[in-house]
Amino acid sequence: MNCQECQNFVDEYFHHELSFKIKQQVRGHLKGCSVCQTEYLQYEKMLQEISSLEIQPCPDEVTERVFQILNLADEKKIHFSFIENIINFLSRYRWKVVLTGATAVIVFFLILFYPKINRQTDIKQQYSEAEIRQATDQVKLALAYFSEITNRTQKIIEEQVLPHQVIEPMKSSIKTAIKPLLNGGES
Amino acid sequence: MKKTQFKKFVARYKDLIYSHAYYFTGNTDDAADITQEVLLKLWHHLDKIAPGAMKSWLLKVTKNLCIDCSRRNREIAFSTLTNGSNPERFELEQIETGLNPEQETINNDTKNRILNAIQKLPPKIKDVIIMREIHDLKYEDIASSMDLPMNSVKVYLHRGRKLLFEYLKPYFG
Repeated sequence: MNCQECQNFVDEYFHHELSFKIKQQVRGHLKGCSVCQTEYLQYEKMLQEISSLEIQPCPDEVTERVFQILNLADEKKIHFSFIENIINFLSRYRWKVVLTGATAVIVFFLILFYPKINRQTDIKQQYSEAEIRQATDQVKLALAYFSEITNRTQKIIEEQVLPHQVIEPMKSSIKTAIKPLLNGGES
Repeated sequence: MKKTQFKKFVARYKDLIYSHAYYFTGNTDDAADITQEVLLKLWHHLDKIAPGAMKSWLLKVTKNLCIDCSRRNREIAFSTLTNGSNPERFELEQIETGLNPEQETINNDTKNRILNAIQKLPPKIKDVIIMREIHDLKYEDIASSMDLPMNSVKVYLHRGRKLLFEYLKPYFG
């Protein structure tokens, strides 16, 4: 190992960050080279001096000034204390939850009824009023026909179906009942 | 509640902040101003900082404010130099070291020489050297406050020591 290589490893050697092999090489070189040895001792001294520098204590005036400024900030804050109280009140009584629930219900109903409202507006947009009136008249006429048909059907049932279904069976049962009498008591 | 917590953090970290700013800028007035600004920022962001990340957050803010401060000082020095109101030699020296003339004249003891040498380091290397060599912080803390991987921190540290040795070699020789 030459002097340049050794001096490149001085920092790692001092902080025990070298592999065993290189460490041995550096140590060997330092033993034999007075220049590098002096350099190493200077380096060691410098690092010791640097690490002996103390943490500078912060003057009390600095923190006092900061606290003073923040006290002013507190006074400003009083203007907002009313709003803060309202927020605290709402959060204490869980109004957030109530408001969220109410919003959810409103949104649900909007989703439910929106298509209907939308459809009505669609129809109004698609057809003219005259067309809608014409369609309404046709529906009324159809209903009138249907009512007429229903009435007639009812009459037919009363006049034809009922006698056929009720009276004819009664007649036949009476005939059956009186048949022995007509035949002179023979069954 | 917030006040108590804030005062607790101030008591714990004020010296670290002030000391970092002092060794970075090289003068007590700038260090005091930076510390004040950092503490005010701490008050405003106290709720947002995770308890475990407090130290690295404070160091990060301090570091940024120190860089801003030294940049400002350099600009002032440059404008004074271009105005030509002071002797040229002194102004050049001030640009290089960032120190005022009183400090420059009384720096004949070891600590002042080291402080002077630290001022000459590039900002990132300077931060790492102050955090590790003076404040004895862990590599992890330095890495998180600098947003750097651990290996880069080690590289900066290595370069910083080499540069300091170059600057201070005549004195220790």
